[in-house]
Amino acid sequence: MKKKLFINNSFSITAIVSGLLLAAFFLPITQAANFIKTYSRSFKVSSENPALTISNPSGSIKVTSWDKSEIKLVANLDENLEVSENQKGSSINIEVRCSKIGQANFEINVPTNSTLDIKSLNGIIEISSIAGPISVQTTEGEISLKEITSSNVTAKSTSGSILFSGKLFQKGIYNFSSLENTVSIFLLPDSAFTLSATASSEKIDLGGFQLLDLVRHERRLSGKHSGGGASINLNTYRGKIRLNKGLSK
Amino acid sequence: MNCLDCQDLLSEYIDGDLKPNKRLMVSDHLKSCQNCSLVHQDLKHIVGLGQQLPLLAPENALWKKIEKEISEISTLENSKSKSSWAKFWQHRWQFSISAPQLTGALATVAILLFLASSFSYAPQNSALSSSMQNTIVARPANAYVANPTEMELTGTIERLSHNIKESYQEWDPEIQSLYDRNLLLVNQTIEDCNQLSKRSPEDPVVHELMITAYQEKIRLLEQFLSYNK
Repeated sequence: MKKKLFINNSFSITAIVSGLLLAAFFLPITQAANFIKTYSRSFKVSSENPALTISNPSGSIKVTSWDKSEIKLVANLDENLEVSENQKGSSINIEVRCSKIGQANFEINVPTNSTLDIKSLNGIIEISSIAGPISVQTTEGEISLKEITSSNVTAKSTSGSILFSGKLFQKGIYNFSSLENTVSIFLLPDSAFTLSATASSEKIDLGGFQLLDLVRHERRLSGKHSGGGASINLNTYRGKIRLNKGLSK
Repeated sequence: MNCLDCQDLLSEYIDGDLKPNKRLMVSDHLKSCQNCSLVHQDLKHIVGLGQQLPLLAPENALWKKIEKEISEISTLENSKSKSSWAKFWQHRWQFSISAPQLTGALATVAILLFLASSFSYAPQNSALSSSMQNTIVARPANAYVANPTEMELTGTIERLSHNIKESYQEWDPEIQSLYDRNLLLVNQTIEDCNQLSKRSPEDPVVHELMITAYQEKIRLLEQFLSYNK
């Protein structure tokens, strides 16, 4: 009896251990069934007016500057995605196409004075250290613009948040709009700007900036700081607007 | 550009009928795709062979044979349609009119149309009942009337929404869900702005909010249309 019990227990333990080992062996394979491929391209561009247009339905796009006359893209894509590319002179056009939604995560290096036109439906967009004109649009993705020294920036999102941190130019134009989420602006304390901030149902936080020629409306606030200069237009409907002294890191 | 699109355009590419931007796309694809490059070479070879074939003119006997067959077919059709109804449809009127006659006729038609439009807009005092004559149609003081800009925007929204409706069913379910979520938010914003406009029809900031909401909806629709072309 004891011998039989011992044999049964041994068999059970062996079966459990074998099962666990098999599961550990096959698990990586099943995870790898969602194949990912790599995309990597470099485009030579002139030092004058390089431009990048990229549309990516889903996935992150991170753009940083470098001192080469080259635009380099590296991405990890889901298997079902295709990247269409087109170069005309120093203008690069990248489009991610998909019959089925998939992630494409880009890391991009561009010359500092590049013009950027970036569109995404659902993905984080991060741009840093760019001096050229910037236009960014998302539906749900968060937009982060840091160390920007551009004189023309437009960022729009339906339900994603927007963060801008940078130096303003005297006649620069800066438009930021998020229907549902927060618009946060980080500026140097002595920045000169003319502000128009519209927030239908939430508060507008000026972050300590004292505006002159202040005009208050139930849903809009406008005024000048340090004599005016750059034009800043901030819009949200259900989100918040926040100004902050000091640049974000 | 994928292989299917490229091969669809190869014939026009070889004939030089593509626009420059498409030509460039095909050219770029051929550089990187061996399969399509082979298809291109084969097609080019076939076109080249076709161009080398000698031009042959058919003999006179062949033309006469074709002419005879055509006349036989038309005779057969005529013999079938002998009913009066068919004759009515097949009958052709022939007019001969001089230039002065034509000018006079057109002038008469123009005068008649002018007189007809003048009478239709003239006050018809005898036709109206006394109650209708004294009726004044007034608009409520707080009614909001869309200005031309809003009308243009709503027209654009309608057109884009119609285009999306046609392709919506083919979208990936996640794209559909993303679209539905954000469309709901935008529509809610527009509805809220409508309510604000009714309460404060003369408020320019409210009007701008409405314009911004419409523009946001147009941006949303255009974004989704561009990803699903």
